Amino acid sequence: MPQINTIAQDYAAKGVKVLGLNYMESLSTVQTYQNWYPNILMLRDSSGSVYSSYRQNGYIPLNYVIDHDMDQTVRYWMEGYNNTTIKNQIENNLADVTANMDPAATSFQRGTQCVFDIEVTNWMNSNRTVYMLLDVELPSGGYRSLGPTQQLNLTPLQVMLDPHAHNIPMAAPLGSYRMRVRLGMPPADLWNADYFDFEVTP
Amino acid sequence: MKKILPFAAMALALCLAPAAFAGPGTGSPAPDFTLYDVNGKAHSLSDYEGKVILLNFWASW
Repeated sequence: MPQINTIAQDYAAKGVKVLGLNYMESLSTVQTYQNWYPNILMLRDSSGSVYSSYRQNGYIPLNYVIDHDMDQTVRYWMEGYNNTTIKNQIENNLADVTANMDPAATSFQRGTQCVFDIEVTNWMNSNRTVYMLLDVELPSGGYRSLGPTQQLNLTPLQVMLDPHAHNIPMAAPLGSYRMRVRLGMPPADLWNADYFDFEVTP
Repeated sequence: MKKILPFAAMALALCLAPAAFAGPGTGSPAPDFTLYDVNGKAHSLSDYEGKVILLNFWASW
């Protein structure tokens, strides 16, 4: 678990998310581990039903490395744990270019602006062209696209800081929103995505 | 006959069961799920579409 926590920390900026699925234990147990290993997002598989759908030979720990594509393709699975192997499997699947969102706040008032940065990084030692799409999920569950798809031409190892400020109209519904960014080659080659949740307040 | 047929179907289903319940193999899509974190917030695997995901099933025992 300490090794997985380190992976979660080291690879977060490279577009890796680590989910720790606890098999049928108490909230207090999971809370303790969440405190110990803050970089892993601990989730409670309270009924064991998710484990059942991923079960291989019945052992725990059970690990999966899942790709950044739209199908969320399984690239590797392993019962038990080997840090070198897991790290290599993650490295093999990293996206060439990633986008990380950094919001200025977790709630914004109606009539003001939703302010955030997007940091786009080309991790490769050569030029990359990629398309970026920004949209927002509304409290109703629908999506609204924010502007047209943008083409980015990145030089080797370029880090591009892209500041955003989007008007929140007075008529905007109150509630929970999710701002999303997606990078890839349209229509279906998804390289990386990120999001942040925010509230719109009166 | 009428009674036996459902049992035959059940037996067949049981024979197929191990394959049907196996986890996803390499190259297959990971099954989506929704689970709660320690704060009671729901998270789905599909929320993290576009990320490389390390899924670690664990227990403290």
